[in-house]
Amino acid sequence: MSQNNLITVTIRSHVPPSADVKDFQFGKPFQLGLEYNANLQALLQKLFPENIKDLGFIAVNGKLAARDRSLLEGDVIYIYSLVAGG
Amino acid sequence: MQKILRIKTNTKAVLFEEVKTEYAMLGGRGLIAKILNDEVDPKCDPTGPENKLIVCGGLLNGTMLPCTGRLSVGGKSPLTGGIKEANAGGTAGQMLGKLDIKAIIFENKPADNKWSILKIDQDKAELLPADKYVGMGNYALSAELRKDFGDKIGIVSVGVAGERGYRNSTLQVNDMEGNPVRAAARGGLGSVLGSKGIKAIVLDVTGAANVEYADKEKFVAANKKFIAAVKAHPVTGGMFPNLGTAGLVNMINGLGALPTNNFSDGRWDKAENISGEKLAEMQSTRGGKNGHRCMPGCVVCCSNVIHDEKGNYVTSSLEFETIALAGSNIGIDSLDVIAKFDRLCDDFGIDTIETGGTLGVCMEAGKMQFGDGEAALKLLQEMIEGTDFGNILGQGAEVTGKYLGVKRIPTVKGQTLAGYDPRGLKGIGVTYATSPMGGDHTAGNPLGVPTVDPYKKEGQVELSTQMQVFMATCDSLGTCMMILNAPLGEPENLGYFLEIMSGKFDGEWDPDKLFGIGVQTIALEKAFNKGAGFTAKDDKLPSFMYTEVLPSTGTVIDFTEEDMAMAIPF
Repeated sequence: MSQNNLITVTIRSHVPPSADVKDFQFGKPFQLGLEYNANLQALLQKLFPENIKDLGFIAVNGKLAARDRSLLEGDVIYIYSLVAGG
Repeated sequence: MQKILRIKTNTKAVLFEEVKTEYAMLGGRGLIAKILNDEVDPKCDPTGPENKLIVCGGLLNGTMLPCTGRLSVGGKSPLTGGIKEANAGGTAGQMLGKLDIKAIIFENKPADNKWSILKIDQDKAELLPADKYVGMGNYALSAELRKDFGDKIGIVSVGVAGERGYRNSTLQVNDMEGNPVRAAARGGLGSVLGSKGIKAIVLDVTGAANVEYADKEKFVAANKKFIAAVKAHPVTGGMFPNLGTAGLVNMINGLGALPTNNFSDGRWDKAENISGEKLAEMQSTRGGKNGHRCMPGCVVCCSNVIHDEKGNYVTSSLEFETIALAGSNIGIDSLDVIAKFDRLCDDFGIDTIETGGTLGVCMEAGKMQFGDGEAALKLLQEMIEGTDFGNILGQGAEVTGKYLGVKRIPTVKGQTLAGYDPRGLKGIGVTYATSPMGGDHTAGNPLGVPTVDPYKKEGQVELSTQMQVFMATCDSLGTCMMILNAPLGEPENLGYFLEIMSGKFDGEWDPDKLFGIGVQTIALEKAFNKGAGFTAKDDKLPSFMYTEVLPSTGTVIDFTEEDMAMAIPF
């Protein structure tokens, strides 16, 4: 696949990915290249193959997002786990 | 042998009593509900002689289970007019457990109008004159008490707000550094202790024995496995130690439920400036600290210590609720201003949530502009100085809002809602409306369950009920919700916890028995509130939320009275 068919998204995750992400830190942004037609669920399956059940709300560009949402170049994705506190 | 300590403030009598058999398996919030039902007329004046103020630990206080040092306080609330339990971390909860005191009951009012402190150590409990401490803020008081009684004491105190009878007043508990920063904040219970003429409780555990276990070996083995699960969980082992509860700012803003400009929106374009991520960045250059423990042995460490830009201590701990109500809710995007607000509230002894809500209605009324941090701190100063308007502010958001003619007052049963707009997180709307505690997120916060759409009402009553039972159980065990909420989602971890209960109390424990503690607690609280005159018609959210669309989510509250009546059916 050529570079033209990739998009780059920024991810800030509060759940450690079970896939290998170099220098991952809680809440620190990192970038990831995805196929241009990827949706959120595909991204989550790629990053969290072993612990996808730990995920709670996901926001894209600051708004709650459905798992079938298509991702676009430059999207910022916040990933949260199940929380009941505060 | 555990005992009850009863303080008759009218005669200054200090009496130790045996624990009634029926109280043996009650603790914290559950014990408070039982004692209030047994001893207090629900129709009494909350700051009158008939009300009682109860201070106690939970069933597990003093044990080796980490994060099990919550201190519960309770009575009839001057703010809601119903039953109220508020709890706090810090040092005092574990100390009460080590001193083998199941509860302290303060009753009546001092006939001589004199103030006292209650000093408890292994050998005795006594009331001592408090003349020299009256009028002190909590920081000065804590320093003075530590000078007089040693720096290892635990302190529960009221600030000047509690002395004055402000309905937003707290009881403050000192942390391990001696700072009076852990607040049993909600419901104005500081004014109830103040009405009894008690400025502080001082606990000294020197020489005190450790608590007893039915099977210590079993307890220790299960405890070890449970701690490992807590540390491995992404919330209790990751987000909270790294960002504290401030990590919720971006999450709740993303959800569209962050109270903004007196609950007029749920998403704020400046939220990043007050986020946990921003706070962590500030900490790295100022010498403050995330991952701070509020009580000995904590393994979650969600507390923080905040320094100013010169590296000087300002406050601890800056929590999500404070940031939401004193930040986005009043349009302030400076963590430094919010930290000053938090420090002033802790020192004066007032609830940051109620105070943020109060300033919100002041801004709505045009007393100052949203976002004007200097003006917000000046209004806080009016409360501290006790000006005429400051005395109104000290009665909370509902009284202040009505005084100013504001229509949009974000309260339930007289108490300001916490940092989640219920139109954007409908499960907490059910909790706010139906909990016997009034608008209080700690009564059960159904946040982050992906199977229930937060913007729709379907499934929320059941979810809220489940969370309310869970929290009433935590509050009765003396256990921080942070350690239990996420790990207990795994059946294996729940099994470890049931082993912990068996190791402490003997017998077989199953989920029904464990969460039966919460069911029983809520049933007792509802009975008290019924006696106080509450009906199903009081279980409702602020009226503007039923008609005014939340711009961030496009939703309104659509629960009917019948929907709400199905929650916590005990």
